[in-house]
Amino acid sequence: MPPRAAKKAAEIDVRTDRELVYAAREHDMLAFDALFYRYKDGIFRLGLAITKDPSAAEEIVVDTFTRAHRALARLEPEGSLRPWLYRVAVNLSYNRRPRKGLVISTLEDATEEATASDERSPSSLAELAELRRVVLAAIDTLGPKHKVVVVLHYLNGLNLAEIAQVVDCPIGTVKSRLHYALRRLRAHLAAHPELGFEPDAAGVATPGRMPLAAVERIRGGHPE
Amino acid sequence: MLCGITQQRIAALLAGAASERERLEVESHTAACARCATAYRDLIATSVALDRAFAGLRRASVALSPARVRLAMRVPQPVPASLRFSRVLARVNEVALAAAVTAFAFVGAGSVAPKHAITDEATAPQSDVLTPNMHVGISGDDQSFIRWFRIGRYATPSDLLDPAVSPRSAVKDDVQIATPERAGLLR
Repeated sequence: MPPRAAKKAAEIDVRTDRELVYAAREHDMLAFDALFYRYKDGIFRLGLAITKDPSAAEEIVVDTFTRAHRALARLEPEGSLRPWLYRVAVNLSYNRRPRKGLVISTLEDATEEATASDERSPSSLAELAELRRVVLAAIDTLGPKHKVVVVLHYLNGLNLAEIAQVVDCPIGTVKSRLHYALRRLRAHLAAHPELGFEPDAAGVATPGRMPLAAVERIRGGHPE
Repeated sequence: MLCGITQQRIAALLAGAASERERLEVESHTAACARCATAYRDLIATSVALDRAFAGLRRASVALSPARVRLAMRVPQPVPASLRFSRVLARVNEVALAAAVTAFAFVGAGSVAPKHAITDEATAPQSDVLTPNMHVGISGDDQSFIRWFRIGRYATPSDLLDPAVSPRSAVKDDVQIATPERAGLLR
């Protein structure tokens, strides 16, 4: 089968992760390719958010699936294979030594490239870019445990149960970490009133214009 | 509801993990407690800011092929069952061929190689057609040249030092005799 046709067939494969794992175990490379195309982008984003290096994120994708292929014989996914893959990717991202002076582009550059096709006004794009810069800088101040929870939820769209599987801890712990991370981030964002965050008289940040839309959004449902 | 429990439920609510009943409890508590209401709004604002900051990155993708994974694994491609026997047969053939070549190189080459008779072209019998009509004998000058050539080409260094063979040593002796001082010392 030509490579393009194989890629198309792998991308539209409707089998579950469990079926694909069992088929790949029987040397069905098309099944393994389907798993690869299903999760490569999510793992790339996760690696990019942690390492802030696109080439390192690509290597994390390759290393993650290399380990998955070696572990095919003992993999028994109950539902999705995503928590297992993300756990490997998180470990690889944090065990990876940062390369000195070899960072080609940063996380902000990658994010800006992804939003370059946005059809918004220049002022709103500039405001969004500033918000992104401030928020990503605030995320960098978090410790690894809290940062992983934030990235997995807000970037990869995992719910608390899936995050608990990835980081291998109870759901209550994930809730606590998320709550702590949000409070820490809120404290950092309070220093930027131009983005709608204004500290009150007691020094505790209170929202400006953003929460009005935010409340409606949260009531309307969670993203992803 | 206590404020601590509400704080925990707020995080679950923001993560979409709270039930409808829990959401109503949080909202009823924040309506009565100003401190929790402020915290609730703060965390919602932060949550929305995070959501917006990651919006672009959520669309990022990578152009990677699974062939890269196979290359990194460095494992041979799986062989179908139908081809396994033929591959074993091919391996046996390769080993047999290698053994045959090695045996020929060490044993068979000496017995099979042709043996050439070494003949001197100068003493080889001449053609019967040429002999009566052409003089092909070697002249005296040519014979001396051949002798000189053979000595120069095949002689050992000790042969060359022999005064009877090497003209250079004869010249050296003449020089020694021609020098009077040298002659006197020798006496």
